[in-house]
Parts: sequence; C-alpha cells; structure tokens
Amino acid sequence: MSLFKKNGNADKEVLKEFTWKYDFKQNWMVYVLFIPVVMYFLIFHYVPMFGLIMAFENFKPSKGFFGSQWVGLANFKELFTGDTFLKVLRNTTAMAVLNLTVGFAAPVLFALFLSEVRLKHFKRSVQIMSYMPYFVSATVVCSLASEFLSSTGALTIALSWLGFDRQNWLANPNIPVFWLINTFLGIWQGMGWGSIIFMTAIANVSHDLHEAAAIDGATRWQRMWRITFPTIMPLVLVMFIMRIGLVFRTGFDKILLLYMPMTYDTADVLYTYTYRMAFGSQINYGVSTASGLFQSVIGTILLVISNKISRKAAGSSLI
Amino acid sequence: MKKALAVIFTLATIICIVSCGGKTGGKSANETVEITWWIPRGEDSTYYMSYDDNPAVRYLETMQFNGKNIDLKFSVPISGSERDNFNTLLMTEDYCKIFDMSYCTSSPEELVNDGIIWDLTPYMKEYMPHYMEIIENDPFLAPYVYNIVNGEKKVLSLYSITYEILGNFMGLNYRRDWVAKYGKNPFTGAAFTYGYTDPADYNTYYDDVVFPNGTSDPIYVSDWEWMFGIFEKAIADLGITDGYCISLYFKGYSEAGGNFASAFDGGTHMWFRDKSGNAAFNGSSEAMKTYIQMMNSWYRKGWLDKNFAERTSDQVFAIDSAKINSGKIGAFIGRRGNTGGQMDNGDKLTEGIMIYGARPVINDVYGSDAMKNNEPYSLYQYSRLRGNLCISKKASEEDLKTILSMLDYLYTEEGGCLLAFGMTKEQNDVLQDPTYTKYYLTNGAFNRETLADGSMAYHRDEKLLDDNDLASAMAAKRLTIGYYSKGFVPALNESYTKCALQAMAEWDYYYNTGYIDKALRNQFTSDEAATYSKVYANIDTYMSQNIPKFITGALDVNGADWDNYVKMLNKYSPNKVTAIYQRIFDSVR
Repeated sequence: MSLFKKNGNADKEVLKEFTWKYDFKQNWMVYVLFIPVVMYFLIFHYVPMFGLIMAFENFKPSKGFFGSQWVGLANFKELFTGDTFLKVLRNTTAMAVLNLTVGFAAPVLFALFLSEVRLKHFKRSVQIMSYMPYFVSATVVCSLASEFLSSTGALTIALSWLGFDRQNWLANPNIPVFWLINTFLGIWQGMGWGSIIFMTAIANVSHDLHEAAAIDGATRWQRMWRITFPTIMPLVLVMFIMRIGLVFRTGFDKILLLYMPMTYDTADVLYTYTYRMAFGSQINYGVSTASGLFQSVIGTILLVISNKISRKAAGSSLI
Repeated sequence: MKKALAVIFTLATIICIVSCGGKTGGKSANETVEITWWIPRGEDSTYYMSYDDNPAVRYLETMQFNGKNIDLKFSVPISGSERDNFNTLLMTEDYCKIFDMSYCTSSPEELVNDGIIWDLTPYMKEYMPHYMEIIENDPFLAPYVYNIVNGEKKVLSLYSITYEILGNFMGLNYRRDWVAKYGKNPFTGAAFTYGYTDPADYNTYYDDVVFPNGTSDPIYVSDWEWMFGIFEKAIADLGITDGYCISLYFKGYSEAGGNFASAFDGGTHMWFRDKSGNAAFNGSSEAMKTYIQMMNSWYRKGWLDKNFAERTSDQVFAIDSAKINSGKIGAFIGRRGNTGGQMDNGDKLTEGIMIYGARPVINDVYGSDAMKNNEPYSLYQYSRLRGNLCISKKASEEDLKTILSMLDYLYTEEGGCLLAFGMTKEQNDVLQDPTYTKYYLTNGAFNRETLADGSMAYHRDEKLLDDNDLASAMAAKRLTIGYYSKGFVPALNESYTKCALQAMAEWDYYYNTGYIDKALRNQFTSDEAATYSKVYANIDTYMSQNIPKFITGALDVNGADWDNYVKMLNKYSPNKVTAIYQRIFDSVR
C-alpha cells in the first residue's frame, strides 16, 4: 500500500501505519543484526546490575547474594562517616571540576587551533604525535611523571628557572599541586585522542561559509570563533554531557600509582579511599560496592541535570 | 573384505583404549577415590603441563589409603587471578574437595557454619594420628591449629608445619667491605685487615673487623652509629653524591623486617604478643616514641635517605634497589641474593663489595633505661606454619576418611620427604617417572644418611642445589600440607652460599615469640575480621602519614605534636584489635 497520496502529501492515517511493525517488516535484517548488541548490553551491563545488592549486604562469597546478611544502609554509613571522607570528597570534586573544565577544553582548543594550520605535513605530524601518549599505559605514564617531577627531573629544573623551588612535586602535600599534576597528566595523555572527533566535525564545516565570511572581510580568528566553534557546539555539548557522567570514575589508576601517604590529604579520592578501606586484610565487598554505587548515582544525576540545562540553554542535548 | 578389515581395526582400537588407559604403578582393582584439589600456584610448564603430572603426586597415587586408590586432580588458577578464581568457585559452589585457604576471605569457622567444609574434629584421632601427635606435643602450635568454638577446641583446617623455621629470606644487610677498608679497630686504633684466600671465590672472604661491642658483628645501636661514621667516610672518599648510610621503608616503620622496631622494648611497631603472653599495641607507646627519636637523630645527621617517604612503590626488602645495586648505600634491608659478593658489577663502587647480614638490633643509646638493652623477641621470621587447607563437603564422609588418611601420610617422615625433596631412588624405581628420567634424577632427588647420634640427615641431588625451580618441580612444595621434620631445613639450605648462610643465621639470631603470625587471623570470627580490617586500615593510613613527618622533623616528637598523634591514633580504637588478639591468646592458655 502506498504511503503517500497522489498529490505527494503524506496522509495522516497512512503515516500512522508507518510504525515499527511496518519498519520491522521492511528492514527485519537490520533488527536481527541489532540483536547481538542488545544481548551484549543486557548480559554484560544490565544483568550484572543485580550485583549492586552487595551494597546493602554484608556480602560473603561463601554465602552468595541471597545468603549474605542484609544490612540496609550500613555500608553507606561506614563509607560516609569515615574520618577522612569529607577530605576525600573534596579532592574528588576538585579533580573532577578541573578535568571537566581545563581537561575538557584542551582537546577542543587543540582541535580548533590545529585545524587552522595550513601546512598539511606539519599538521598531520602534530596530530599523530598528539595521539601517541594515549596508547601509553598508565604505569608507564606514572613512571615518566615520577622521573620528570622528581627533585632532579627535567620538568622540575624547568620550573626552577621560573622561580619555583626544586623539590619532588609528587611529594608536595599542598593544594592544588597534586590536583594540577593529575589534570595535566590527563591532558597530556588524552588531548590528542580526544581531539579526533572534534577535528572530524571541524573538517565537515562547510567551506562555503568560510569563503563567504572571508569575502566579507572576516579574519581567520573571527571565522574560527564565529563559524567553526558554533558549528561544532552541539557536538561539544554532547561530549561534555557524556564526560560529566563519567567524571567521578576516570583517572583512578594514575592517582593510585602516584599518590603516597605524604599526599593523602590532597590526593586521596573516593576510589583510592575505598581501595584502602575495602581491600585491606579482608575484602569488604559491601563497602566497595556502596562506593561504586554512590559514584554512579552522582554521575547519573549530574548527567541528567546537565542534559536538561543544555537543552534549555543551547537547544541541544544528549537525550 | 573391506568390511572385515574395518571390523578388525575397530575391535583393535577398542581393545587398545580399554587396556592402555590409566597410569603405571600397578593399582589393584580396589575402588578409586577422585580427589579434586585447589592450589594457588603450580610449576613452570617446562617441567609438566599439569600439576597432576608432578612426580611426587604420581607416586602418592600409587599408594592406597583407607583401603582405596586415589586419583588426584589439581585446579590451578592463572597467576594473578587466584583470589578471583577462588571466590568464583566458592560463589558458584564449584569448589574442590580440598582447597588451600590462602585466598579465602572467610574463616574456617564461617565455612563450617555455612556447610561448605567439614568439621574434622571427630575424625582426627582415627584418621590423622600423626598430625594429632605433632600438634598435641608442641604448645607453640595450639593457638594456630585449633579453632575455639563455644569453648571447645576444634580442628577445622589442617596446617603445613615445620619442625624448625625455614631460614629468613630477608633482613638487615651492610657493606662489610666498607667497614674493613675505612674503619679502625675501636680498641687499638689499628686498621683492619681483610681479603680473600681465593680471589676467584668471594665465599673465601676474611677480615678481622671488631665492633665497639667487642665482637665481629654489630649488636647494639652504638655499633650501628659507629658504622655509619665509617660509611660517611666511604661515601665521601668514593665521591658518591647521592648515597646514604641506611635506607628506610617509606612508612617510616615496618611490621615485616623492621629490625630496628624491636630494638627498644623487644616488641614490634604495631600489634604483638608481649613477654607475658598478652596482646599489646606499640603504635603510640614509649618504644615507638624512642624509635622515632632515634630515626629523627639519624635523619638530622644525614645518615638516612632524605627521600625515603617518596619511595612508596618499593618493597621493604628492595628499597631504592637501583642505588643498592650501584653500591651507593651502606646498609639496607635485603635478601639472600644480596649477600656476599653477588652485587659486584666490576665497577668502581661495587668492586670488592662484601655484604654481610646483621641480627636485629638492641638499643643502648636512646630513651629511658626501660628502652635499653632489651633483647628483641618480636621479629618477622618465616612461620613454622606454611599455610592451611580445608576439606569441603564435596567430599562424602567415606571420601573424607580416605583424604584424611592420605594427608596424614604427609605428616610422617617419609611423606614429608616426598613433599620437601621428592622421591628416593627406590620410589622412582617403582614409578619410573619420565620427568625424573628427563632431568637425570634416576638416582632419586635425595638420599638419607643416619648420623652417629641416630638423627637423620638429608642430601639432595647436586642438580637440585643449583636450580630451585627444578627442585620445587620434582618435589610437591605447592601442596601447603605436611610436616617438615628435623633435619629438613639444613638440607633445604644446602644450596645457599656461605655468606647467605651467615646472613640467615644473623637474621634469625633471636627467637620470635611476639610477632603475630597472620595464620592467627583464621581464628577471627566474621565480626572480628571486619573490625580488624577497618581498624588496621585506619591506623596504618594514619601512622604512614605521620611517622615520616616525625622522622623528618616536620612534626615534633618531643612536643605537643606527639600528644596529638597519640590522641588521634587512639580514636581509631586499636584497643579493639588488641582485645581480639587477647581473646585468642586467652582461649588457648
């Protein structure tokens, strides 16, 4: 049956029939191809959510999920009333904010500026070199950081020329030293890789717009900020919203490798705090699951809020 | 014709399969009990692919226990995934009949209450008489091997026991060559003489070094401070700009290998058993304060590593190992492999290096009289208990009797030898093991010698003395069960150099009665384990943050900072853990 009347206008009643049943009939193979993806998410992402019950139990592997003692919110209470929990939360929030602001802006700015480079070979070389740190493991990154930031490290010497004291920066317990180190390590490692998607979006900006603007006398700087940046703004917002959701969950491995008792006051985050409390002589599954659940809930709330703000302010949103 | 040939071949195949299966050893037609066994670690696949093929295990399978044959099947996790693997098996109820308890987070008592393992108490006298004889005649073992349940002594898990402790693998080391070369006799002022009777063999090193205590080894803090003075001269003379006299663990203290920890009141830095047999905590005591005063003095004099608090990824026995291996450090906590001249790289700083081991130190300089001249008794040493295992309810009661009979054999002298050394020639002649043949051990892995006093000495094959991996693969050391009788340890130590043996003798010079073996934590109830974990984590974190500050002088150990530290530490309730240990000590008095 034809979907459209002879005059080309879609009939409302006919459009009603253009439902998923009709779509399934026409494109069943696509749906079948989608089944493994659905199964993957169901089995590896949704079904394991059942394990969150451990956050409310005094979980013992020998007793299993249904045999372990139900303790309600006791694990959360133990987590939140720990002596250093507030400091830990402060550190986590501070590093998250820095990652979201400075850490997020870096790949965007890098993509914007690199896209303005005219020399093709230079641009490609810089792009490739900027990706490379992403493939270096956290352990190697931290070893490099330890060397460069030690009291005789290259970065320390360079900083001493700028008037800073020669010291082991990773052992500096003052705010915001460790926070900045963590942020800049994240930028060094992730900037190039994170800029790929923005570079792609910038490459798809219509050249006609640039030509027209150039004819009207706009400088390159003006074209970048008035044409390129606004065009990629929806993508930037979507990526920003996604980043907010993960802000409490990333970079734990580097902090664990770099922090030390001297810097616990400024470097200890929820993950490392939970790691010490929950994985000591006895593994406390309940407290560690409660910590993970807490971070996930916070991340989800932030994601929903930022999505709503983004929709209202910029008309663009992830969901 | 073709059909006839096909039938003949089929019949021949069937006959081959039926008659050629099974293992050598001439098993009778008795019932065979399959015993599954979870162990955390196997052997290198160079020797055999599965631990089932371990020669000692194969010999064990030729024997009968409780009138039955046995078939051992081992489950070995991938290295690094032991805990996950164990917990997964537990949660899915797919565990083995026997499992090693190293990675179990539940106590044996909890496992019995959950119906996972057997309470072995009713079966021990009848089926494990050798094990019972050992534990009943050795009062040291009682707190560890029995679980006290409702006031009753119970056997819930079986321990691997040694008659004497295996030589410690780590302890205080120092550069003896620097002392000999740069030091002077403290009594006569004469330079020391030193050298090698055979320059090609560092084990022939000799010297006439005398310490201020009058002997050839450092005993007191004053000996060490005298030695540090010599190390300063050596460091200056050799032009070392980044060396120091002694390394220190990043926390500023160490439970394991803390050879200065026990120098003051004999105890250690955290929980220990004092001389009266009571539990005690030293984290905020006068002993800890005196220790910090000493360390702070050493730090100000430049004897300590200035950056010790930053070496957080270094193990306690390998602190700043790059500098140790470069020969820039005078004293450090090291291992057997550091002793003697093994670190001689031929360069200027390591040429002629001679590392000696030193015994735990006695304080004679710092603090009050109560903190001086106390012999250390709370020392990290290898435990006489190497591990424990449980028998799960996957084994029926009949199987249990067979399993216990088999395990009891490993507590006899013969069974212990099989575990520790491997097979004798006679045993291998029975088994004709292909791995023994492949590694030219047809004369057996060891032999026995009866000494004049009637005791037994054991001598391992020479090939095994130089190759620890081969020695382990030819015996059954991965089974943390059985008894290492008297004479085993000297035989196991045969492969060590003269310098390593000297170091081990020094490290184990004093007898440990105070250091609390982690095996004792198997006696914790579920609540106690949770309390211990929380209190320990908080206290360890707090101490590791503050002790380095006291040592470097950022906090004043002689002022209000110390009082604040003590107050804060007590807020974390160390007394709760002290009470838990006290309960266990009291239950077995």
